[in-house]
Amino acid sequence: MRLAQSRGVASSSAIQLCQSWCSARLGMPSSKLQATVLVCLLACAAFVQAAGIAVVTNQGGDSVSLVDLAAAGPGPRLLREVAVGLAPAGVAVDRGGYRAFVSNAEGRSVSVVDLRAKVQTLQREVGAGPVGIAHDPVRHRVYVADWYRNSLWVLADADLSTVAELPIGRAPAGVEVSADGSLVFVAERDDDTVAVVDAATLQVTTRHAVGSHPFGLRLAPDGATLWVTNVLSHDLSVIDLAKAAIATVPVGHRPYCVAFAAGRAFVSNQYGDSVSVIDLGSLQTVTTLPLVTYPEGIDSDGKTVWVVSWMDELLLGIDAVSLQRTATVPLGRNPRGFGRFVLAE
Amino acid sequence: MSLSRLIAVAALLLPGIAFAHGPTRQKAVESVEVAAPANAVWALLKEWGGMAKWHPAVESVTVNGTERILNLKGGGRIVEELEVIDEANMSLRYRMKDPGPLPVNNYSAQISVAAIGAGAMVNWKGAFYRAFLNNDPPPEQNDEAAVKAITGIYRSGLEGLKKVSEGR
Repeated sequence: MRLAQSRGVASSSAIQLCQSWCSARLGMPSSKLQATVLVCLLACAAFVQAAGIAVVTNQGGDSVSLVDLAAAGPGPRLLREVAVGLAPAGVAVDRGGYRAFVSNAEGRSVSVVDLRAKVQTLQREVGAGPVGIAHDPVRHRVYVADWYRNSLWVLADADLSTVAELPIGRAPAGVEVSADGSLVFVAERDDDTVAVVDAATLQVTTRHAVGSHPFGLRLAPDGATLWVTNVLSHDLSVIDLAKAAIATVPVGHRPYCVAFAAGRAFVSNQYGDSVSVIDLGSLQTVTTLPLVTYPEGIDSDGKTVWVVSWMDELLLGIDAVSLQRTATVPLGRNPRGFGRFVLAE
Repeated sequence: MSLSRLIAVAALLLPGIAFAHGPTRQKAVESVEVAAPANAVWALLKEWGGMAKWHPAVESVTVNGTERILNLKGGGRIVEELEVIDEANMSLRYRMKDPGPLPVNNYSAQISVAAIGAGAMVNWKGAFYRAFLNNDPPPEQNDEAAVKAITGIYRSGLEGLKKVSEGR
């Protein structure tokens, strides 16, 4: 099993295959056994090492940076900068298809980037201002918020053809999909609301009033709460979806996006040059980490929180438990990474 | 009144629209080496109302707490708000509340000084959006115009700061 392939297809089922192959060999003579087990353990370790891949949009470079997040070996490093459309902003990774969907804001298009081949395989015109983007593996759809048309595009993930265009609030920004694909959430920036869309009927069923200028949004790991960054009120709206109750958590200046790891929420504060760390249970702020300038895109592989610095053009890794910096990887020009940009192995 | 002028006026009257911008932020980053001690350069920079002393485009500055009005030579004024002064790192973070004649919106910037041997390095980094709020901007309000205007301000300002710091 080649390492190159192992990084591409690492999954729990592959690890199980590896382990069963190893245990089947235990009946061999001891001299051959030791060598075989050693080879086997090394091969299995190749799977375990792979932390994942990050796909960061470089808005000033018209490209995405593919970053290998593996913690061992040479450490996290840039694999390739892949050309996409003009001024890419949003990104949504797709584990099943091992690809990423990218919104090209000035190019008025959406790109598909194949993460194995590390090239753009498709680019299709979508609307006037595609920005927020999310992938649904259940209905095989890509949802794209159109900033200028005030609509939500629903595309087929196979070829980016249009399934529907649904009118939504003003200057729609972040998009999120529930794990079962049944609900789609859209931050309606200029309306100070979040729309909840029923994915089956494509109707807006609820709107939640949040803070000022909601932008990024993400569901907590348990799927019960939706966390929304409010850029101009410098806080988070944490929406309990079942109760339709909203808690407000103050964060730093001009928050951008939120990610989750180790029972905590991590929020990038663009003007605050910091990341707020919040306890998921109590909603209390654990600490505010002074970091890079203009931190924007933020995501997690479960162990490490990855933060994109738009001004410094770096991807920074922070250990979710110790909060220590663990890695720095250079990116392209004016990187954003707006959305789910980490594909964790 | 042209459409873009109407939008510019509307932007001042309606706070929501004043914070509106397109999806693509622009950046300007300039620096200059100064043959003067970093502390002396920082002393000049950190004086919130002192920009007329070193920026060739500024006639005078009116300060009101953390807000300052840059009265420009030849008319026009820019209003800025100080966000952070970091003495330890010798840096200032501020944003524009009113860009005046500049073809930008949502402008924020950081200017900082670092000691390099006996001299100093001054870094000025800005983040902003083009003035035009929608797609298909006219040339005088597009991304290039925004970057050109801010880059020009930084370069002339840093040259001015260098001259004054070096006692020339």
